[in-house]
Amino acid sequence: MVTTAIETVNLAKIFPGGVQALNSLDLNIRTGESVGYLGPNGAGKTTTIQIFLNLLRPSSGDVFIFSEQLKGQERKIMRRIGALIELPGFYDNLTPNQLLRHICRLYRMEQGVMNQSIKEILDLVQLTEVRDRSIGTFSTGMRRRLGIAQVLVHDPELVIFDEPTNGLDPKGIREIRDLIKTLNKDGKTVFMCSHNLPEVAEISNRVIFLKNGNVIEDRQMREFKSRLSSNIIELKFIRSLTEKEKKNLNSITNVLNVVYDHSIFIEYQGSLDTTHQILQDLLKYNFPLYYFTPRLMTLEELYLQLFGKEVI
Amino acid sequence: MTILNEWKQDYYDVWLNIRFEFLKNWKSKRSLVAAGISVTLSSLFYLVPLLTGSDFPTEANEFLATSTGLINYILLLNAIFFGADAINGEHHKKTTLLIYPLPQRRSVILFGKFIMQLLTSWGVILIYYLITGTETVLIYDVNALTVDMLKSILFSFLYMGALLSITFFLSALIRNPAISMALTFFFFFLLFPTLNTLLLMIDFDSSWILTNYSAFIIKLFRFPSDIFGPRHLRSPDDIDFYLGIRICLIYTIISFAGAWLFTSRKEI
Repeated sequence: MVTTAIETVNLAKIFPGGVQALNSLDLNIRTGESVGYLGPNGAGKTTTIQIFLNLLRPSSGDVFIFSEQLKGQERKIMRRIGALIELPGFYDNLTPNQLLRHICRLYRMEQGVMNQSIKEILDLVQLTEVRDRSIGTFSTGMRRRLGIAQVLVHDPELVIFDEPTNGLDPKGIREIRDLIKTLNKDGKTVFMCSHNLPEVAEISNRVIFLKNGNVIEDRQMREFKSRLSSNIIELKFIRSLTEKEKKNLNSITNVLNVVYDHSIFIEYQGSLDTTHQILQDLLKYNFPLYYFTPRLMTLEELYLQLFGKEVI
Repeated sequence: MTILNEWKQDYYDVWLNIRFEFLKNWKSKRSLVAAGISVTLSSLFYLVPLLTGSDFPTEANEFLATSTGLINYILLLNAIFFGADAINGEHHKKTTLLIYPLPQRRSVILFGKFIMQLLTSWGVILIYYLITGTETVLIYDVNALTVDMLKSILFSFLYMGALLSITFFLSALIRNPAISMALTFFFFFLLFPTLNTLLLMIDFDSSWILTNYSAFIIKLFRFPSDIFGPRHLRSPDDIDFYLGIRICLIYTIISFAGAWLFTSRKEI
């Protein structure tokens, strides 16, 4: 059953000094969604997350998590959430095992379940070998993985990440991204703040763009695909085209222009659906085709279109 | 029923936080350093005369009063070690991002922290008294340890509570741990004593100044009573012993309430 995981109603946050971080924000995140929350610096992304986690109080408006008002029920609601905000500090003298045990106890996990859960989660984030080593000796990547472990150790229904792969090496980034995708596949709701647009494009099935505390775009990732269309198709043929074939290529319906480079790029008019018609025509006229890819704008390009050249 | 259940949850969370703070203290070098200083200072009054061949005081109480003369430094050191960065240190190290989103009230973290740091401070004080007591038995005899020793310990515990509470308040109020540590020094070494002197100069009541009552720890040995009980807590000196207890409690409660308020309400 699809229910609401996060709902905000007219959420606003004004910091002392009059800085308006959020401006009447209305969000509705359904359970099971994986949402990428994007925006330039100062857009209000981290403020939103900090309000969800009771680290900041809203100036006005309401937050509902799993349809329950956050205010007054923080402890009950926090039991269902796992969150990793930036790279939190850890207690350097403690070991991952000691830290996770304290966290599990706060979630009222029984001894047996706790032992099993810690073992599994440390295996998952590949920290089993160092479970009894002081956290003070850990690299940034290991700390990040420990952060992921503390998010997941109590099996939360909603996971909130703020820049989850910052400071990780490429292998670590791949592992964390795969892990987050798996979490979502397992039915967990994922709400992720990130500057890393390819990461959001890969992980999220819904993208929300925030600017000056307001939502300016909120779409399913598949809807974005049409926004991402650049009206260019890249083609490759198994041999060079004859002059006749080149002429035919130009005369295919909706094709506006053909550019010959290392590949052949055709510019077309119409929506992304037009590409289907063009492919059919190419096959109908027996073009020796082996590669056909509508070129999509990257999320970065769309982002720049939305926000101009603002730093992200 | 719900409120009762909430309270039960809170008490259990406080207990978990006490355990957690114990673990942190156990693994931290601070407790070790504080205990080391306590051992060193308390040993000086026995070892120095012994090594130099000087005589010990003829009266055991005089020895105890001299030995406990340095306990004030231990108390202040405890307050700085275990309280001055108790709250803002968590902000500074960004560990609040880890512990605040967990299912527990901030006040619960504060209570757990305060109780454990108070117990640790008391432990350091006890080490001092244990060594001083052992020295007294070695120099004099076991009968030299009177009820005044117990009263002195209990009063230092009470005074420690007030000091720690004030440092917790400063730590909750000020974001920078270095500043709150410096302010702790400033309060107890400069502000309170200077204020006291000025008030005495203009013949104004200075009985509310906490630091005046640290003298009780020593005065108990200078004016022994031999009987333990509330009626005999009044010192024959001109300072009201009852008032000392009340002032310590008032400072503890008000400062802790302030720390509670700021910890619960302050945003990250």
